[in-house]
Amino acid sequence: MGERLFGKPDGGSGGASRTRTGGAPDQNRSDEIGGGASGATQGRTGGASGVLDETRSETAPRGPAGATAAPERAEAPRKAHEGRDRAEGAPASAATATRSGILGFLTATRGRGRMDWTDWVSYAYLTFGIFLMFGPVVWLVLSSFKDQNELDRFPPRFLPYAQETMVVDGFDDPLPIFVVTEGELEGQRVGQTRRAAGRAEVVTQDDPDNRIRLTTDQITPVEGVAFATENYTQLFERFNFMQFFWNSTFITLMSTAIMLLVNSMAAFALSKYQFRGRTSVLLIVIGTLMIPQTVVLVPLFLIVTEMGMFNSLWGVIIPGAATPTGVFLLRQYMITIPDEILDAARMDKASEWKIFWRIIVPLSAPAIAVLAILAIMWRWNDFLWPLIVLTRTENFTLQLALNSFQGELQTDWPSLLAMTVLTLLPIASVFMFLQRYIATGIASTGGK
Amino acid sequence: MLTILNPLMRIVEIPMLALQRLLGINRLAWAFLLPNLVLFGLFAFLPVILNVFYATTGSDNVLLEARPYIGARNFESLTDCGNYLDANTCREDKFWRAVFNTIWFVTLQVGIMVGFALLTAVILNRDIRARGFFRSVFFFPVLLSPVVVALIWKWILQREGVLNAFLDWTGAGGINWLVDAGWAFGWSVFISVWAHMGFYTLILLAGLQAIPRDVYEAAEMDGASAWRTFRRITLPLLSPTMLVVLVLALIKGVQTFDEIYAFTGGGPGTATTFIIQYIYERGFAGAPRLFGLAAAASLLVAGVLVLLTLAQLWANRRNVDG
Repeated sequence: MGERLFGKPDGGSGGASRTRTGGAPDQNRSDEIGGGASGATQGRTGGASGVLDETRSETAPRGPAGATAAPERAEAPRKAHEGRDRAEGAPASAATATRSGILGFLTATRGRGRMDWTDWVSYAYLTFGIFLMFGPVVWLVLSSFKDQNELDRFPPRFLPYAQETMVVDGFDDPLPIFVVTEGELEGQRVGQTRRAAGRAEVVTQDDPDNRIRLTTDQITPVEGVAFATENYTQLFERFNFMQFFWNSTFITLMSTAIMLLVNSMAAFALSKYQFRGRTSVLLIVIGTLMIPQTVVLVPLFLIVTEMGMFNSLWGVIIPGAATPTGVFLLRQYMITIPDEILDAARMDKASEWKIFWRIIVPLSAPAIAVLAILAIMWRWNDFLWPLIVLTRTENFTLQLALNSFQGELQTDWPSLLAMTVLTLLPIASVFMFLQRYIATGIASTGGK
Repeated sequence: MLTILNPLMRIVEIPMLALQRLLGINRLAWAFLLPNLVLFGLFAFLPVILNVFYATTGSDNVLLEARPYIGARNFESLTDCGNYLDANTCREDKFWRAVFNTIWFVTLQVGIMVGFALLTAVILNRDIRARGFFRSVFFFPVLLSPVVVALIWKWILQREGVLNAFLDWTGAGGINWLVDAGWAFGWSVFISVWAHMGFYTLILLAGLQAIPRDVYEAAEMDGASAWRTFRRITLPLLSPTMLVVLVLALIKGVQTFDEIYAFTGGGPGTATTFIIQYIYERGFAGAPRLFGLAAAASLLVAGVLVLLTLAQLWANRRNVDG
């Protein structure tokens, strides 16, 4: 069903657009995966590739390539319409004016007429969306740069502040600066040397030997915006942060690598060979999709324990690699690779393994890349299974470490905030660069 | 990357070539499938069978030979209730609390989430500026790890957190959000919606964009009102996608664990303990480890999930067929 529907990526007419878009052919192709992937979730995917490839439909005039017809269909009339509007000018804008308010809200088109109230409502909603989605993360990052005093402060301030200090002759450490609010020194900046029981001893920069005694309510601290980094540095000093980071990285990379190899081998077999039992294998793979890890925890625990992988990183890596999603994604892509290439290689006496490794894998690189990004995200974010298998602190992944720190009686927020930021960072930076591919992949695989 | 692996692959080629001579090209497919099938067999199918074994045996020992057969006793103790609507009358009251919590949670979470995802998708489908940017704004939280999501919100909601500061400032006064059962549950629904909405928005947006433009133009010609257009055209044409989204959200919702466990730990009391957490606690967190009960509960959840997955496959077929 999938093969027929989705056809080959970029048939003949794609050639023209490829040369035209220069560096973009790879992108085009991985969008194709979004469109072609996964037997189980086709309905969605056909459409998904439509949303995610605005650039493609804008730059590349494409042939009627079977499956992608659905999004194309939607795209084509609109394009035609816009073109007509621009060409006809005046009559089109007259038509725009007749558009009623809410219909505009549901069907409006870019660049037509003025902003009406529905546009304002939309933009208000989206602005609120930015605030709600990014706000908490921004707050987390800002908070992670505050020192303990600042974190304890209520109500909190938006930016991190710290008391300014000055170096005064005769004192080894920099002194915290205060401004005197009353008395003869009013308005002067002084450094505090000692403070006890409501009284403070201060000196001025000019006259370091003259210790002046004031009451604490006569002075207020001078503060400036300062990003404290000690939350981060103490992660490395007081906690075994590098160990957690390494555990997470090792699990993520190994699990992803194994999954990619095993899944692409299976996808190759299922897409390029005619053998008895192919359908049953496909059914088995679909069946595996129906068994989430969450419902087989107990027996999985036994198997992992029996294999000696309890409290070992491999106990997380191997079960994590047994994810069937990639088989569909890759099979759907490999089907589109012409059999003639394989036949030619066989004529040249290439072994089947060589065909797999030298031809199929390189040609499927875009699909494998999408799968790799997804798998890295899943494994990095995994929580429940590592929680069961890894019980010793030195085996903890970042997610487990985060969870166990906050579980302790007195939550150590300064370290916890910094660690949260560092856990979030790899994913956030991957997201910035590869957002399009991630979205495509997720939409075509249905999450995990 | 590939060049590093090349020598390794050349070594693998030797046995594979031998197998190829032995089996012939088409049967070699099994050699390519083997690693995958072994993994799936060991870590997916075998566990399902073993789950039945665990569910019908007792004792707190995980080893198979040390577990005596007790028939359906685990299921009996799970379902032994004076009154099924009142968890207090049940022998395994925590199970029923978790079940009720999960039902409430899934209903609220899926309803609110799909509603907002639809609203967001409709707005993103309008011709707004910087659509790509706004799409990623809503999608961004999907990538965050559950623990990070939980901590971000815990930090905001803590007693001396920024939300209470804001409420103080408005004069409303702060609330100890996660200590109050109702609020903790409400916020659990909220962070779950916050974290997953973007994913469903994306799918719905794809569905919206697949609706042919000319249908709307025809409606406009006929002078259909906007609301009518939305109800009579957009919603019906979107309904296959909506169905997929609903089923998918239900499947995920039933399995909610990570972010809520890190967020509230299931508390206060059992206010936010869901079914997967019950399984985790019975099987792995508490002593004695009641593997049998955990497995029995897993089987019940698996039953619900299989039904939902079949519904999903059916929804997909409908979606493809039109």
